[in-house]
Amino acid sequence: MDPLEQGFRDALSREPAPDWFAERVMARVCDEKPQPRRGLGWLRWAAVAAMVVVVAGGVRLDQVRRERVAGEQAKEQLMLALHVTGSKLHMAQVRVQSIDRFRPE
Amino acid sequence: MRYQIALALAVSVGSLAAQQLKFTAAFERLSEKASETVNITLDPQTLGFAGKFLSEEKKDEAQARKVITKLTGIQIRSFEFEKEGAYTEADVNDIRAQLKGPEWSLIVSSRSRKDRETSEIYVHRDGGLVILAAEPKELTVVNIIGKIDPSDLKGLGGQFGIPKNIVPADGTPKPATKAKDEEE
Repeated sequence: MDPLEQGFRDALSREPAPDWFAERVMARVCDEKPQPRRGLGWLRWAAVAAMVVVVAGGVRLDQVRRERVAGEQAKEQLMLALHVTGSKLHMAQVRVQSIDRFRPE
Repeated sequence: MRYQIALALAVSVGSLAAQQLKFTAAFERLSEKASETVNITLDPQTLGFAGKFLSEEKKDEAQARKVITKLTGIQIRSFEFEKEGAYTEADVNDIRAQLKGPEWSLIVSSRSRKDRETSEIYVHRDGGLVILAAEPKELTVVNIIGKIDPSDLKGLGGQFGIPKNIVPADGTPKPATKAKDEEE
C-alpha cells in the first residue's frame, strides 16, 4: 500500500460520534421554539373580512335590485291607474258635451 | 289636547275608510268571465313607494307625484268581456249602493240608452272620487281615496287623457247633480 492510499484510508475511515454529540443536538432542538408564522394571521382575517364585504355587498345589491323592480312595478301600476282614470273622465266629458250640444236652447 | 288629536285622527281615518269601496266576491269574480282585466289596488305604502320612482323631469310623472301626496289609495277594477251580458245590473248596483250616503255627491251622470253606456262620477265630501263606467262589454270602477278634489284633477288636465275642463273654473264640483238621459 503506497503512502498516499494509506493517507486516504486514515482520513476517510469511519469514526464513532463522540458521547456529547447526541446530548448537544437534543439540547439544541429543545431550545429552538417554533417561530410564529408572521403575515399569515392578518392575511386570514383580511380574507374573512373581504368575504364578509363581498357577501354583504351582494345581499345589498340584490335588495336594491328587488326594491327597484318593485318600485318600477308600483310606478307602472300608478301610471296605468291614472291613465284609466283619465280615459274614463274623458269619456264622461265627451258624453256630457254631446248631450249639451243636442240640448234645445 | 291629546284627546282632540286622537279624535281628529279617528275622524280622518274613518273618513278615508268611508271613501274606500268594498268589492264583493261576486264582483271580483267577473274577472273569470273577462277577456281583459285591470285590477289595481294601491295602498298608501305602495303609493309612496311608487312616488320615489317618478321622475321630476317627465311632465306627467312630476304631476302624478304631486297628486299622489294627497292620496291614500287607488282602486281600479276594469273588465272587458268578449260578449255582452257578462255582468248584470246587480253588479253595478252593488257599487252604487255604497255611494248612496249623504257624504257622496253624484256630479256627472250620463246614460245612453241607444249604446247602453253609463258614466257616473261621484265625489266624497272629504275628497275622494268614484268613477263608474258601464258599457255592454266593459265595466270599470275607479276609486280614488284621499284628500283629492276636482281642482287636483284639473292639474292633471291634458295628461293621462284627463280633460282640461272636467271641472268648473273655480275647481269645485257643481252642487247640482248633472244627470242626463241621452237618446231616450
